[in-house]
Amino acid sequence: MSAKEPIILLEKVSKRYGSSNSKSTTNVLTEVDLEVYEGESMAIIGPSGSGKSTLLNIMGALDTASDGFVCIAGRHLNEAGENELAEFRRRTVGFIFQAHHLLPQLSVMENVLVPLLAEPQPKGMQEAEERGRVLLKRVGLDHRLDHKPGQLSGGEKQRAAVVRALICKPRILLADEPTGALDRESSENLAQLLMELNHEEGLTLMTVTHSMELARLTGTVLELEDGHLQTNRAS
Amino acid sequence: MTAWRFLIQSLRYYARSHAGAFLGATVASAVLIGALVVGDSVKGSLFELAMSRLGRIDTVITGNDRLFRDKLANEMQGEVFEDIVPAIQLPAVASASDGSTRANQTQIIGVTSKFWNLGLKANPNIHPGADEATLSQALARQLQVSQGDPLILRIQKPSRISPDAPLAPDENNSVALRLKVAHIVEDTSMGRFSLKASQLPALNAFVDLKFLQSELEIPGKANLLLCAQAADTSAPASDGSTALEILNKQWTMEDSQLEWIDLSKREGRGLELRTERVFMDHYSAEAAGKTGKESTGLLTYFVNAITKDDRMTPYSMVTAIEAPYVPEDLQESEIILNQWLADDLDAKPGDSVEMTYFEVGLGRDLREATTAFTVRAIVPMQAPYDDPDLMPDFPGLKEADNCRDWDTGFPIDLDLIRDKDNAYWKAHKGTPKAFISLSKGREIWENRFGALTAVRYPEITTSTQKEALESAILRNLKPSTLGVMSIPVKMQAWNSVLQSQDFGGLFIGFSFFLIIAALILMNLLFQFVVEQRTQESGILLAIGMTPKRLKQFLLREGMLISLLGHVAGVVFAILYAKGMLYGLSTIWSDAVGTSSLQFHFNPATISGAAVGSIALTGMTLWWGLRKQIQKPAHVLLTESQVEGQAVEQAPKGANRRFVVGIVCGFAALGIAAMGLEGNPSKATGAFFGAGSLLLIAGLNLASAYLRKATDQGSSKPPSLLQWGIRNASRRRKRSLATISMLAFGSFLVIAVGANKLNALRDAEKRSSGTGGFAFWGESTAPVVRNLNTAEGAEAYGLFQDELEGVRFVPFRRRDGEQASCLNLNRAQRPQLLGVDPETLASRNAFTFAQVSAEIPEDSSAWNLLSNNAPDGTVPGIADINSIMWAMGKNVGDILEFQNTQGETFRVRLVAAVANSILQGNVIISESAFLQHYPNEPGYKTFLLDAPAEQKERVAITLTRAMEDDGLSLSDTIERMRAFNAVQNTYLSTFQLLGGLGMVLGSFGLGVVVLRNLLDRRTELGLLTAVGFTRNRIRKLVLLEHFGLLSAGLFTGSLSALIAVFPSLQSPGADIPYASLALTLFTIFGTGFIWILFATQSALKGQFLDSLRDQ
Repeated sequence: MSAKEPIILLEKVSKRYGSSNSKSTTNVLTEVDLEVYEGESMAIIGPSGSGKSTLLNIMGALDTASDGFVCIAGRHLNEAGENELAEFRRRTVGFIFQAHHLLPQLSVMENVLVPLLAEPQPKGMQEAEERGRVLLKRVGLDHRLDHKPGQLSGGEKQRAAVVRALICKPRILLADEPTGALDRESSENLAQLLMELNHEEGLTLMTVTHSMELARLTGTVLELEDGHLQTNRAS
Repeated sequence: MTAWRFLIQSLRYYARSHAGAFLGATVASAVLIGALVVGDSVKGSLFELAMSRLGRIDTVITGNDRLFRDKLANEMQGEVFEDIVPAIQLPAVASASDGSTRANQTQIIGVTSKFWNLGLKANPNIHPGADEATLSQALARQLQVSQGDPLILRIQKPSRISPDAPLAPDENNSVALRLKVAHIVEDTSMGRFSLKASQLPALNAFVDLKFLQSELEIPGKANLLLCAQAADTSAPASDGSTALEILNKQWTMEDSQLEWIDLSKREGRGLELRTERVFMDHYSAEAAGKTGKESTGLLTYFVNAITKDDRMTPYSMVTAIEAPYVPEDLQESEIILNQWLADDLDAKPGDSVEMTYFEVGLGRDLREATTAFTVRAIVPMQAPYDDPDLMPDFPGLKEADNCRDWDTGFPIDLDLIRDKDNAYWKAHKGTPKAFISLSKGREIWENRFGALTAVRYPEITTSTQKEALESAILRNLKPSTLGVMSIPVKMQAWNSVLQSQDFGGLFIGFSFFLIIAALILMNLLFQFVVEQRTQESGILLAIGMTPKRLKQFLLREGMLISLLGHVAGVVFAILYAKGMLYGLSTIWSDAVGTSSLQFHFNPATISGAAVGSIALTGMTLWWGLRKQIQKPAHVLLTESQVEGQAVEQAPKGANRRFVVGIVCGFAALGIAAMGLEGNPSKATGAFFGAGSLLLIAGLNLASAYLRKATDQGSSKPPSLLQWGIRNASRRRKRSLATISMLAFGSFLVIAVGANKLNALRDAEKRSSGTGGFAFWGESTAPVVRNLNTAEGAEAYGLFQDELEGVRFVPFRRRDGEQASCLNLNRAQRPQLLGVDPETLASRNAFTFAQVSAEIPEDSSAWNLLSNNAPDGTVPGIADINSIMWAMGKNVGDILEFQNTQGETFRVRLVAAVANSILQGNVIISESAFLQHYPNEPGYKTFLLDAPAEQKERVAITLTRAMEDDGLSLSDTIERMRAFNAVQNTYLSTFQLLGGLGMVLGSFGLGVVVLRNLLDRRTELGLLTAVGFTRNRIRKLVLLEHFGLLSAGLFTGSLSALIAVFPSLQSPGADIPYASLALTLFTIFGTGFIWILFATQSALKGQFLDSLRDQ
């Protein structure tokens, strides 16, 4: 892929719920066009129900578009099958959600390594463990490796979730209201961390947020309203 | 971090949540494995019983009604069999010396001391001396005698001539032995010895062989040869043919009951071959005629009278014979008289004379017949015509010095015998007074016992020629053709055990609902844990795990729980099996008739069953997971954030299910209506089909209703009931699973329970299982008289007024194994009964469950017995239960039997009698029976009609009069009750285990309630926040779940009542309303308690906390 080609390319992407000729059809996204280049950071804002999370889910292959063209990191997601999409999620994107979704039965380190289990034949476990240690140290959790999620604070859990998202070296980091469940201080710390990762690791960062502080830290802020991409502006 | 570690960590973390699934797997595996262990134990016990019954005996050679030399045992020994022991086995009636106790079905067995070495535990010290008997434990128990006590054994003496045969003496052939009990022998030391496979212990009285031979006046004779293997061999050595081959080599003329008469001693020439049995059977006669030597067959018969005009000569011998005794051209209408007769009748050549004689009918029925002849010639009273040896050794005649001393088996009018007749007898004994052609003689006197009384060889004069002739005869005369059979008893015992009632399968059937309930419970609880982990599923999908791999992870976790459940399950399986065996030996012993069932542990069965059970639980878990994780990751993640949001997708297909429900409902009504109108025999199937359809209809309508309820909404606030229903529809599959489980369970429990049978109901009707008969009778000795005639009854000291209203339906019986549900072994040689079909057809006795051919309205299926097939296949009828369960056959199938000549003949089952007292037997026509068993004497089984108010008196009179014949009468109702007890006991077992399954199912309902409420704690918090009191919330929850409980039980019960409608109407049905109601009440009550308990548990604490958490 040449440097000029967008890592995220959406053309006239729409998302509907309900059948196309039903009266109860809900249009969540309407003909959204978007180009994002590698290493960019972008925030998507908008009121609740405007389609922000849906747009992020489509980019991360967690959901499919009803219409339009979706090409992420050179992969045409419209035509991909279930297994291809799963592989795409394993190798290309990392997710951070509003809730940390750490598995309560596993320690911090184990949670970080869980994505490797998604591989039918997990490989490079030792290397991943090393990378996990480095990343956990990077986010200040090197003293919490063997702790269970129940023993961590909200901010710590979310930082562990960030490391889990990064463990497979994704090219794109998708964050859905990552600071939504955190207190102010933890939010600021996490926002800072995400931006550092964007700069240092060269990750493409797409985040959905209600936090204007976080949005302002990103390079670009997109605004969605009733499924229409209203703005594409530099922050 | 590995997948294995992930699995272990998950298992540890969710251990408490998995406890329910673990319990389900434990119960399912314990019941499944336990059922198979029960099967193994029953088979193992039967195998042990078979081994103790036979010891080392592999093959038995039985003479049936023939006796052979006991020396054969020594002559045959060593070639293949390590030991061959001779024995005499005869039916006997045993009684305590004071007559207080009695055993009609006793076997007296004369044995040598070697016999005791054949047992699993050799014990030669228990051999009885003269006037002593060693008893089996069962006989000692029945007679209540112990060592040293006296007892009386009445035995039927083996007769050279069948009691049914013409001219058989009318003497009482029984002998009573007063013996002392020398020992009581353990089962393992041959006490159980029997040739019949049965779990019931044999009533055996062992006596010394020589002593018995002496008492029966048959020195040196035996009717059994017990061929035994070496001590360390348990596998069968032969299929019976080996023993027969060895026997063939040692078989002699004496063993064939053939003897030589030297004719040269009496002015004749050559040798005569005759048989102790008077009539030479067809095979012996054929062998005697195929020697290549010149021979003449002859048939001498006793005729009642020879008349010419008004002259009559009573009671004479007439010989049918060939040239040279009679002219070559003697016509069948011609007769040659000796001079004495010609003088007596004043007859001369060309005169016409008439000969009156008895024709042989069935049994001892004799019909007088007359044939006219023209006198061809008069022969002088000299050789070869003056020959008393032409008369065979008719017992009762040969020894008589005077005509008045004759002891024949038919009435002789002594007044007819003149002095000149007596004088002839004294001078010439049985010398025939007339001669006819052999072909004519055979035409009028041939009977099922034979067509010749002797064969003469005029050319055989030297001992060398005699030996050569004997060899030639024996070459063509095999013991098997004389009715001597070689029975591979060990092989048959193995087969009867291997093919025996499969208690493993039976108990899996009984425990079916318990297993299903446990599997559903396991699955339901595992699903709850999976649902509880929606967030985990979501995140694993989000990080790139495929749904397939995620399901694999969950399935592995489930399988690990199942595996652990099975470890506990094996322990409980052993306890379950022991419990069931205890039940079968005690409260359910009616079903097995023995308390000898021992626990048998077979690791192969347990491991095989465990693997099967693990696979079953695996499939169940896979089935449950199949529809899980169908939602995309982001939906799962969203749902996990808000409790109770995991509402099932708005369902489609409510209308389709409604239509299916309505169609099935109408189809059920239609089929039920057809069942009411149609053939009653098909009504059972029709109603069961209708009930099943109604069940399907009910479940479809419930599904449609729940689907509709999901979509319902209105501007008005719903009532508490409407709200409850709508709540139930939120977890539609969960609710439907609950209704289905309860509906299926109650359907099964009622449908099966309603099939209990009552022997008493309508027992007096011909259509019932008793056939309307009052008694079932069995005698030890054959009854050769027609008890329905005054003469027949008088022969037993019975008078007409004592038997007023009493009618007998007699059956000939070929002893065999009981092919009924009372015999756990698969009968290898079912007992065969021969009856005159008309006796049952005219009474329209019994109801037929299946008939292979259309029967005209004015006829009965019993008449099918008279329709012999062109290929010689004999039509047979048996009870439906015996056919299906004891023989593993169907109507239309063929059974094979061995006849007296050792030939196999086929019986085709043409009809099946509905549940009846005929169980255990295969019934064929009497004529077919006699064709294949011509020497089987008399009748040994009876059905009796008797006036209801006279039953007791009739029973006492008959059993007293026929005490020596060992007649035992059982009330047909009691016999029916004994058979019904098996089915009823099985049904009780099913009901108990099914009820347990239902209780487990209702526990599942409690779990569903708990889970539903935990899912909705936030909602309940909200209700509290808007002012609902805790009681009102409880009422809402209870309404919702009682609705599910009631819907399930109502649907299942109603459908079951339709399904068993014919049983409710059936004459023999005994619907256990009380126990069924109690079972349903228990299920409802248990469900009620679980719902209350779950509701109480879930409604504890503060719901508002849940709301605040959000």
